[in-house]
Amino acid sequence: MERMKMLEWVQALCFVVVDMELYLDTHPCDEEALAFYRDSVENYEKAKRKFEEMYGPLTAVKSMDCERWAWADVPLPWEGVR
Amino acid sequence: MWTYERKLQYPVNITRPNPAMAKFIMSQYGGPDGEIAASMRYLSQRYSMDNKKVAGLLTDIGTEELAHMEMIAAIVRQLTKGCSAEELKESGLGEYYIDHTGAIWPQAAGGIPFNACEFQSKGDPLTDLFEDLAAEQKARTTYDNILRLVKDHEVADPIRFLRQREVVHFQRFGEGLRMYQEQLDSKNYYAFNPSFDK
Repeated sequence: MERMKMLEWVQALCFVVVDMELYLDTHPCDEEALAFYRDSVENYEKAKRKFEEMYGPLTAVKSMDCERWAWADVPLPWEGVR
Repeated sequence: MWTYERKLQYPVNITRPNPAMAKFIMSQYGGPDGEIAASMRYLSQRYSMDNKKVAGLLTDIGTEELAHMEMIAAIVRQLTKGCSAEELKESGLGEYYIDHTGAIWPQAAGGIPFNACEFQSKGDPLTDLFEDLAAEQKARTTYDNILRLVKDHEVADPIRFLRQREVVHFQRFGEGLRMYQEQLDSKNYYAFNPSFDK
């Protein structure tokens, strides 16, 4: 399923950002890590934007771009794919 | 404040229900070393953590634990979805079914309800950080106990991810402890409560 594959990609890129944030919390002066963090955020934002254009908003505020309240139609993440 | 993203931190797609396994895994939701206790512990402790960097770390790890709560709830939900009352009873979830039907409710594997006494927020930065280090190890041990019993890779995969995060958080809290100790007198770290006895 295409949506699931693309969501997994967004999840993976988001994970890099989250993990790097914890690393930088305790290594705030690591410049190499900071540069990697910037790239990670950029990659994540790009993938998220693409996903949202195709499959609808991941955050409520992104429903602003839709004509109706699309937030209500987005699948609930805990239901999984069966 | 927080912003909700309608996605899990790591995929949970379980196609084979197994309520007996759900009963074990729900301990990582509301059990003594579960994700609710973890999140509430760190998000409560941060107010008296008088080191801005470490308070930031507590906030960020406490926030990630909220995402882990959601993953565990998703696993339990998917493992019990579509099960009949009879199947739930046979699996050992009979009492849980009577009180909660198919809902998610925080309790330990043995049925003990979630209780704030499962974590501390002591108001002494070193005391709290040692508790946090222990908590990450206890959660890792619980995930190891679960993994010895899980045979289905669809369940084991997200559980392995969560186990790995306990290891990373332990590492980060160790670094946080070191950062905090650096602001103290290295000859006696435990002479007083550094955030209270100024």
